[in-house]
Amino acid sequence: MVRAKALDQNPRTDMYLELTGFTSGILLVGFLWVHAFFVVTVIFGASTFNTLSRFLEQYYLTQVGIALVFLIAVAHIGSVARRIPTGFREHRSVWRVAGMMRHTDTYGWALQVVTGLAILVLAAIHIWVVLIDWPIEAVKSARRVQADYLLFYIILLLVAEYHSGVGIYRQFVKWAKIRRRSLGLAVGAAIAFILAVNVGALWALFRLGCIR
Amino acid sequence: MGRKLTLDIFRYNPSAGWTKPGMQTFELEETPGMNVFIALTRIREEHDPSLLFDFVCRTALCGSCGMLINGKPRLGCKTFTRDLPARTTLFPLPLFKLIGDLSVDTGTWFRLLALRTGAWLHTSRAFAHSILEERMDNETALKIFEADRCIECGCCIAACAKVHVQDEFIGAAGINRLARFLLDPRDERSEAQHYEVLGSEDGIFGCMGLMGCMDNCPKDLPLRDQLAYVRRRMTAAGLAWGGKEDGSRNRKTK
Repeated sequence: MVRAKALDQNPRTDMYLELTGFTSGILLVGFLWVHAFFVVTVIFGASTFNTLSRFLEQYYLTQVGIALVFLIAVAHIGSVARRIPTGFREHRSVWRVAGMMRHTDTYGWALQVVTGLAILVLAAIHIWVVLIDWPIEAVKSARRVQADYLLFYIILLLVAEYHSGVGIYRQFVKWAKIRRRSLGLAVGAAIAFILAVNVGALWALFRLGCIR
Repeated sequence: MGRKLTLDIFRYNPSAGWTKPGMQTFELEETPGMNVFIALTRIREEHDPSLLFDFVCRTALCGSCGMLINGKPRLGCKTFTRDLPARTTLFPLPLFKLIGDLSVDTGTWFRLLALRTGAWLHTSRAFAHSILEERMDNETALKIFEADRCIECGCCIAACAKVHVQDEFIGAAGINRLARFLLDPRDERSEAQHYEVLGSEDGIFGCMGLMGCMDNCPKDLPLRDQLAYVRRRMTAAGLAWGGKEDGSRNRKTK
């Protein structure tokens, strides 16, 4: 605690990192919601899904969107990675503190580190398999979900929604004046809703995959 | 006949070279209105006079009896045995220097914190005992008092996962203490000067909002509101900051 900090750094760096982590996180959650509402169109049939997919691609919205989300994700990883405990001893410290107090919020964050790293790997795989199978079409997605990737997508969905839920909750805890219990309930309800939308989309894709 | 209480207490006296860290179990009968302070005093009087623990005020005002009671940072004097299970574990607060058994030195930590962050009223006016104290409006005084209620027991520090991995982080106690000077109209420091102390990873931008501090504060301080307030105010100060010369330009005039 007594170590003096070097004075030659930009004093605003830590603030910018904090704001970047916050902003990019909110934008990524926004993306997850938009993504969910795009995918769920498959419930109304393959043609609805394809029409939307083609429309977005025609105006380069998909391509620009993927590039943007990639950049935002890089900014997010870059700004929040500084929080990840380094080394075994630090990880053990965090889990021990959470464990000794049986403290939900500390556990919540400790798990956010795990889910964040899981998303890094799983989302990269997801983007890769979508890109090599370009363009996005309902039948291709359905076949993928039905054949090999159902479990993969269920896991990706759960870790992504967990990470975003806890992330949003903590950002509101940090910046806003809302009671934590109400906040937890509101975020929980929102996550439950978006999970339901995504599960509906997965179910529709799986069924479509069975038919074809 | 009261309940039979079993206390597993951490024993280690670093100044007595021959002892080894370990747990020792004591049994005693619960009496009405018993708190951990009374239980420990009885153990010391009836079982083992060498047991070390800190107590001064017995009324949750001095902040010396912070310890881990069943893993949670609590004040011994404010924790009643009737709220505890029949078997209870007592550990000293982590992160602070261990004096022995349940006694830790929080004073050095808090003194270093104060020195490092300049946690006192900065004013150019000399103290004159002959004139009346300046008046302050009640609302401001109450806000300052809310932060000033902190007794520096160290429970929030022990409960903060961030301090456990980053020992330069000043924690809720440090940020709350500085919030008090942010609110005080008598403090002549500019926003930029406050930012220099608070606007870093060791200050408010190191906080991850885990709320271990607030959930374990024995004084029920509104730590989350304080942290959010400091975070918002320091972000505004950081965004408006124009470099070193700002320090004098923005200084409050009185």
